[in-house]
Amino acid sequence: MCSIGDDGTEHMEPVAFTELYQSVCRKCSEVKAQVVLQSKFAYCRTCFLSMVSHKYRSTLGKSKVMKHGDKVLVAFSGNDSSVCLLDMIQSAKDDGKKKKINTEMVIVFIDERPVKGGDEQDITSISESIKAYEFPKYYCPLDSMYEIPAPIPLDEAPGLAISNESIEECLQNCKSRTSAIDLLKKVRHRLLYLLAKDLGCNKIFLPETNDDSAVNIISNIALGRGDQLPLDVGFMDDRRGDIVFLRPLCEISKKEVAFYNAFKKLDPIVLPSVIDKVRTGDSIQSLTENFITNIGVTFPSTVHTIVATGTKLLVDRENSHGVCGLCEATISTNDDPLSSAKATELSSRMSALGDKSADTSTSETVNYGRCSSANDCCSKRCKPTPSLCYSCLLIAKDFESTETWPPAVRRSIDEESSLEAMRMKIEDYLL
Amino acid sequence: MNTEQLNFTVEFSGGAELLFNKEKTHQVCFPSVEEWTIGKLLIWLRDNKLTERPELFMQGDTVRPGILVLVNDTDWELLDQLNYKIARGDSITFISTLHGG
Repeated sequence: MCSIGDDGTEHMEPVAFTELYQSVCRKCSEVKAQVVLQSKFAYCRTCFLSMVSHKYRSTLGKSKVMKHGDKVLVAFSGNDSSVCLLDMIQSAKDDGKKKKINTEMVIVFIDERPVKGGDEQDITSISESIKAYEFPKYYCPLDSMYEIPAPIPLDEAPGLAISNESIEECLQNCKSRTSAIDLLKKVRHRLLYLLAKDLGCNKIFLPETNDDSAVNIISNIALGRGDQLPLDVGFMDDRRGDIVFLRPLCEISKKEVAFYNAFKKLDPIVLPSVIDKVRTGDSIQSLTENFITNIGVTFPSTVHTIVATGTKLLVDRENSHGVCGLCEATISTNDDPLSSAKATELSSRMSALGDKSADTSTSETVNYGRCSSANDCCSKRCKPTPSLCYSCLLIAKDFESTETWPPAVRRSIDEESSLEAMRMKIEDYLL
Repeated sequence: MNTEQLNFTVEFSGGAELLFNKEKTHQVCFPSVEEWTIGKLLIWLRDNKLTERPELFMQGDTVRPGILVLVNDTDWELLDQLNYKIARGDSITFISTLHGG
């Protein structure tokens, strides 16, 4: 807790904007400032642009993950941060002065528009907006997850009708908006992974900013994804092994992105998404975003504090077994009695017991999501549950059945389940 | 150009245009007998141009947190914010940084 003000002597003063009125750039101290960051740091246009592009390069540079000959898939949605990311990639390439790592870039636009919500002009304007970039460009609708995902060259895409019926129907069957958003995100990542494989890429760039990271940290903890947090919010997500997801904008804020685009006259395009057609109302993700943005008004360092804390966490790879069929993170076997999985499990046991004596001491510890005890109580009531991590299981609970999920996802859930069953069978024979 | 009039441009970007009939650029023309500040402009935009839920654009008498305001490419935090007096030919941009979810 913050101790300032507890003794009544000191108070945190709100930032007074009059101090900033017509101020000069804090870096060059010459030119009139044009942008203020965190309500206190004023920059002129030139210093601001060089500071932001330096952040992008230093994020990639200090990570030391980029190697000569890497082939990178750049996920492009048309929104402000993806427009900014593309421009930074191009500027870094054009800059002759700096030492460079030779990489190949491929742009992939994933069409997420709902069937009756798109405009014929949408794809044409997307295509026009990135015409200047000489990277190969591809198009792929979300629904290709129901077939074999194959990228189509973007130039051939404008004439195509929107074909996202299956995913739209799937998401509409979800009982909560929170789960629908979470499922869509996992499906999108899976699609990007499959496309990267198809295109021979070994890295994927996601245009996520540090504001996105802050929202993801808080909402993922609320969703029970605490043990996968470092993968979901850090710079690098290497859960899949062969292809890694990178977030080169993870040290840049949304405000920096917006001003970068405004100064460089880049025009983002916001398209409707299948998620707009899902039941309205609030989701944990949007409530978290509002919450963090609102505190940010009075406490401008909120996002930085959350991200600085959240990104220091590490994945506990030792205490895990198996892989979740949906999000592909390892499933934690941490027997901490205070984890949310254990709390949910206890709660459902208590409800199942009904009026009978609620003696928690008799409850055996079982791995959540699996039925390991062979006694009557369990084998009769539970059907074997699929191999999913705690929070993906919560998503599955919001669906009548997982039959409407993309076949590729269902297949990998089945595969993981049978692997897990086999592992449990031979467990006793292993030394 | 009529000297009696106050002409300026209002632009929406980053998703804010979805609240204003998906139009990114609006040419605005006011009789300049009275003084126009951004504060007054916000109320006028809300009452005359907004086509979607007002709470997604405004909170109290100012813009909702997460919507940035630029006057001629300058952050309004460096100007008088709501009290900034709009001059002829100004370009006022509203950029939404909110994802929505």
